Amino acid sequence: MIKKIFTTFLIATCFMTYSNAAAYCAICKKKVYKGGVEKNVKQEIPKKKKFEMPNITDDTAEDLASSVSTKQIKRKKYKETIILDEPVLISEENKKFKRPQYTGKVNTEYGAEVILKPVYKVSTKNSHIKIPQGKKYDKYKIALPEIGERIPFKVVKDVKKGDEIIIKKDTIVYAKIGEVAPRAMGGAPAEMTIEQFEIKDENGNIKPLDGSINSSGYSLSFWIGLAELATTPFLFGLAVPLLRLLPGGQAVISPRKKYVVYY
Amino acid sequence: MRILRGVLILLLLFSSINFCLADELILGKDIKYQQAVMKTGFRILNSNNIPKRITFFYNTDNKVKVKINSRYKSVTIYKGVLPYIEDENELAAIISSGIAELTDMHSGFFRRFSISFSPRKYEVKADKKAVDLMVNAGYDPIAFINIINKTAAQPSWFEYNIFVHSGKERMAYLYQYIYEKYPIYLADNRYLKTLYYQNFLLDSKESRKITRMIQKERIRIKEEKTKK
Repeated sequence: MIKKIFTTFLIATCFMTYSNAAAYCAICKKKVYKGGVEKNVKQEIPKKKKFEMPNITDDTAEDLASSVSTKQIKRKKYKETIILDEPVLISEENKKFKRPQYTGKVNTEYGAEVILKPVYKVSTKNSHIKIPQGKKYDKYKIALPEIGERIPFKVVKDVKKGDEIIIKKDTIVYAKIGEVAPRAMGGAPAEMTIEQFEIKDENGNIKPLDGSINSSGYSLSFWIGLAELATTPFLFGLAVPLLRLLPGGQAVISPRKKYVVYY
Repeated sequence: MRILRGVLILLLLFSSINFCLADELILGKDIKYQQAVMKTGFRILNSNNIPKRITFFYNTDNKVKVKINSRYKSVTIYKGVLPYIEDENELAAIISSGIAELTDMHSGFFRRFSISFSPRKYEVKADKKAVDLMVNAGYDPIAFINIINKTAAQPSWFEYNIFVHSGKERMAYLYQYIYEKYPIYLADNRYLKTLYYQNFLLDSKESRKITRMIQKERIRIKEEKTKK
């Protein structure tokens, strides 16, 4: 019994290796195509009957064509009309923005460390903006701080390159708010990105610093999930819609913390 | 026993024949797409100094799909998406959206819980981050609006999805963000005359009006503060 199974297995594997090898040789010699038909073999293909479209007449069209002269009919031509957007309102700071060009250069090494702390506390907040519409006002939700707002930082320690002091302590460095994501339900925290750090040197030239600060509030999502799991057998899942209403914390940048960028 | 032997031989034969006629001849056509996806992806990573390793793949299945694998940190673009991509900016939009989501997922232990509990918020955040990535890499972010107009779903009110925004909402958020941060791309809009952007302008009058009014009021408040 075992011998029979073994012999059949051997026969099958020998056949498989032979067929795979033959197919590989055929592909290399470009003799075999997808359908498995060899190129050099002439096949007798029977002649196909030519299909001729039957001539089907439309009596209504013929009556209409005879009653109406085709010269009077004018077909509508497609006219491409371009919809223009309203002129864009650009602030003074955004007017200085230049489109970045791809240079292909990569910063492979960090420069000198610049340790900063903010001059005052900055935190995200949900607010409203009132827009006058005649005598009334329309309120729209916005997230503060606004994108592009300048935030001052103070250098905590002298920045040295070798023995030379490049940046003195207590120098003011300005940065901009890059993006603000307000907090959301489900314990999702607010997030804030501060970027485009700039410093004025002794000659008054503005030099950029590398780096950005990403601040995030506290997240309640993990604890909401645990609380939901724990209370489901007792409250039959009723805790889920209530707990999901809780938002996360606000993102804060505090003078108590130190942040690092690179010169 | 004989029947069993016969069945076994037939099975082995069938499996061997499938391996014989290989896809080596088809592979050559897909190389250029894989290379284009990789070049765009690595350009975005290098321009933004992203210190994380992310890989980019092109899959030959005819699905209109972009897959993000958070475990292997990879972005896979399927063949079905290619007809929707007209230039490199639109390809960069799709890839940068994937990169933004991946970097967000891996930026903290509790982040994944926050993303799963509040996916709509993080979708908007990823879109905004993708705009930043595109701009830093030298791409035009308006292409993102075009590609969303072509591909994103627009469900009815009773099919409201708690996990994702509709295409109209995403485009409105993107337009607002580009208006606030990179208005020069809107002022000198190279996609203005394309069919898809024209359709967006037709469909978004209300949201653009609100964006404009908010920005006008903000500029006015800033000017008042600087005068004081």
